[in-house]
Amino acid sequence: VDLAQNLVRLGRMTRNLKDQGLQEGASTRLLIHAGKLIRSGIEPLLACDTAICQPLTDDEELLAGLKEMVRAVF
Amino acid sequence: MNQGPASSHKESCPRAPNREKALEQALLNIFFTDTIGTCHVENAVEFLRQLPNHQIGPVLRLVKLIAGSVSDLLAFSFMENVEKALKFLNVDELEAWVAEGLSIYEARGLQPAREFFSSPEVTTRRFGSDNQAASIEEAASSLRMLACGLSGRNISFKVASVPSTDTETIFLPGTLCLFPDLEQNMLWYRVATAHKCAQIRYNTFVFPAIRLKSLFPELPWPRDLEKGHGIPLLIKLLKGKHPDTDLESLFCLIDTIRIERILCRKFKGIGRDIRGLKKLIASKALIPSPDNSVQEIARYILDDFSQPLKFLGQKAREIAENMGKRGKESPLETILLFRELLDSDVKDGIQSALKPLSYIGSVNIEALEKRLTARRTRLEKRFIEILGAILANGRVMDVKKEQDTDASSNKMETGAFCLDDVNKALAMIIQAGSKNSDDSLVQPFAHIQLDIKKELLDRLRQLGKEIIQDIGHVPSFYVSSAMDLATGIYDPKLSIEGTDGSQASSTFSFFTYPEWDFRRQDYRLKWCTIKEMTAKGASGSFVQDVIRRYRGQINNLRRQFEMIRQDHSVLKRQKEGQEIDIDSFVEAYADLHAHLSPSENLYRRLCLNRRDIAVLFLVDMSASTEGWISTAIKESLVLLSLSMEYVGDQYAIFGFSGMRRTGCQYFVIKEFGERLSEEVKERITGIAPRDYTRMGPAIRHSTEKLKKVEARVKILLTLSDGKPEDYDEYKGPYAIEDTRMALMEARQQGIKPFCITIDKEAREYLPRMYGRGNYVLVPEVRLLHKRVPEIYRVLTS
Repeated sequence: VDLAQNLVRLGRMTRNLKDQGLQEGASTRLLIHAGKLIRSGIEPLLACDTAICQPLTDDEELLAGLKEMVRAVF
Repeated sequence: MNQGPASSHKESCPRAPNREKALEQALLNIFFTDTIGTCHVENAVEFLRQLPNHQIGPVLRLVKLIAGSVSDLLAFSFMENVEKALKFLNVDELEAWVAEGLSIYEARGLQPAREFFSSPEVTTRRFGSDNQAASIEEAASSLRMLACGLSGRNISFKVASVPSTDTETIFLPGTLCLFPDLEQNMLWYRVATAHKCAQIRYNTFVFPAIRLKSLFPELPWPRDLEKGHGIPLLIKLLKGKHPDTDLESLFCLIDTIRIERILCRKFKGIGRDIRGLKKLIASKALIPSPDNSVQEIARYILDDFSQPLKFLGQKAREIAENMGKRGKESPLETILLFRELLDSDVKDGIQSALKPLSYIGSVNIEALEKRLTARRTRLEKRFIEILGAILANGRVMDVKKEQDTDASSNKMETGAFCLDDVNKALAMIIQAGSKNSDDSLVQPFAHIQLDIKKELLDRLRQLGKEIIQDIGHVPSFYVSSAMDLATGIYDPKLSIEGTDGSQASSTFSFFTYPEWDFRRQDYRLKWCTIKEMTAKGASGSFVQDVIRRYRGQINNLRRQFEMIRQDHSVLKRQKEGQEIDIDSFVEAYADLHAHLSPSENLYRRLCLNRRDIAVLFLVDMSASTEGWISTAIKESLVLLSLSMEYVGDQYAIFGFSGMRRTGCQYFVIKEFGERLSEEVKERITGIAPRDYTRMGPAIRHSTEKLKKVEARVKILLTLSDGKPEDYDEYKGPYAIEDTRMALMEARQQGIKPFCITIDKEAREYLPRMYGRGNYVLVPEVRLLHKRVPEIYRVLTS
């Protein structure tokens, strides 16, 4: 439950980034992928980076911002 | 090597007078040009005075290098900052730093290079090992996104010494070297940002004034509570009772218990950061054990809410411990604790208590109120629009229903809803809250048959919640306005302008324009800021005097200009027309008899000839027009505007002046379409010499003005007394080339620029700027008033 809540929180945060140049926030599907990775024993930071940040953008600055968010939540 | 200024000061003081003279002499040797005055050199001596003796030599050598190879201005900004840079660098490293600055100049121009020199805290980091300061610029790029994510708003960062927020901007110190490690300084920025975002997200400053009134019944609350913003209003009112207490900081401190608790619960990473920073703070300074209630609260925060509270009263302790256990999303507990603490005497402890917890900062009540008002206006508008849209859709749906079944229409009377029904439905929507099933969304409106999209309802509910947080309830006029909007009575624009006073009161506005740098053959983007303002009028009989003095000339002008005003003109020698042209007929007849082939153009045609001209007079108001030149220009303006009234062309008069690229001024004397009223005459009287002549931005701004006017012929007529020049590098060829570029841009927009000048040397540069034939030189100032209307007449007919 805790993990799911954190992922939802992260998803909400990414959706606030629309004005910053992110096309769209993290979809439910991406969040679920990240959750599966974390469940199977992968570090949350790495899991979110792989399953959420990288698929969303390849812009360096946005990536740094997204990573900062992941760090904030986990 | 770390050379502190304190130790160097001792070395330099005893022999100060001699040393200063020597320094001044050395600098004069370097800067011996007429562009740099002695006062600048004195300033520079002031910058360098503090340096120890062994550093003076190398620094002067670098100054010489910069001034000699690049630019005097850059050398000055180097001298201004060299003392700070030497805190982080030794002499060798300084040389590398300067080399980097020079290569920035080569690559990107003067301004970036000056910026490089002006923030040594940041730019020296790569060159010296002693600098571990973090800067807001570095932090902001990654923190901005965190801030947007956390707060849900578009947050920007600005520099201020004390951290604070006005709910849309976060203010943080420009550079920070609290800790010996860069990572730790960045941590401080991160925690401060998260703290401010939490203040925004968890409504530190938003609480309905009506509820506050019941908590603080003893305060003199204004009658119209709906207009005020709860927390700022409360603090303002309390200031009357506790004038010496830093209430803003106290409030932020207390609220920190609540918001940190929420942050730690919801955002584990941020919680880790906060705890890490607190540990650092505790290890850095010895914090004395608290001896009053405010210090105790600070200690409570610093110890992560674990210490028992001794100084607080029974009630206050309970509240604080409750907040420390689980922070709630409403600031009610903060306000209760605030009230308890105000009853005990706290005013001395606040500053010392806040010192270690520097990231908490304070709040600027005025700025906050402004933002909250703007936000409330926005919320109101959107709420009314969405509710209006929902109601309007509903009506359509209902009419259909009526035709189909004729059953559920008893709530509808001539297409409008009953106010009570809508209010009830709204209350249900907003309270429906977290239950997200579609049923609960549509049900509230079920009995009045609405076709509602789920998305719209979600947004309406969100907005309704925010409004209730802010005001305490949804004001009834929101609902009635929305109903009016749905039936087409309400005009949202009217109400917004009525409620937002800040727009009406602003009397000037800012515009930015690029500037042409001919050395790089490229524009400097957003380089100049121009401030447009209405010129100050001056009372006096100047205009009347001019009219009396030049009565004869005015009569002539009237005749001349009324003549060219005629709306009809007759074209002679046309192939076809309404009547025979006697002259050409006679000629043709004679030709025929002389056995020459006669002309076929035998008719006169009456032609409707509209003078569709818009002209913008741009008046140079630089200091050099002081005295009779300015008077002559003003006289010609009076005569010109009278002539324009006779001829009926559209015209506007603007003045320009200013100093430096960020301080260009643009004075509105008469706008297009404005009458030649007493006010305009007063403004003409009030034209007075000001600063410099930076022509480029003024011409660009005039071009923008002319673009908005509709006319067949557009003329930009400049009245000037000399070449363009400004206080900074805007001189000589640079200024002339930029002005030329601005004029070329005007021509591309179909505007015809023309210049009337009294500068006798103008032949050297005016042909280059305006092109041959597009300027007139009036060598005798006393004839200016005679020549200017005449030139205009010839120019336009």
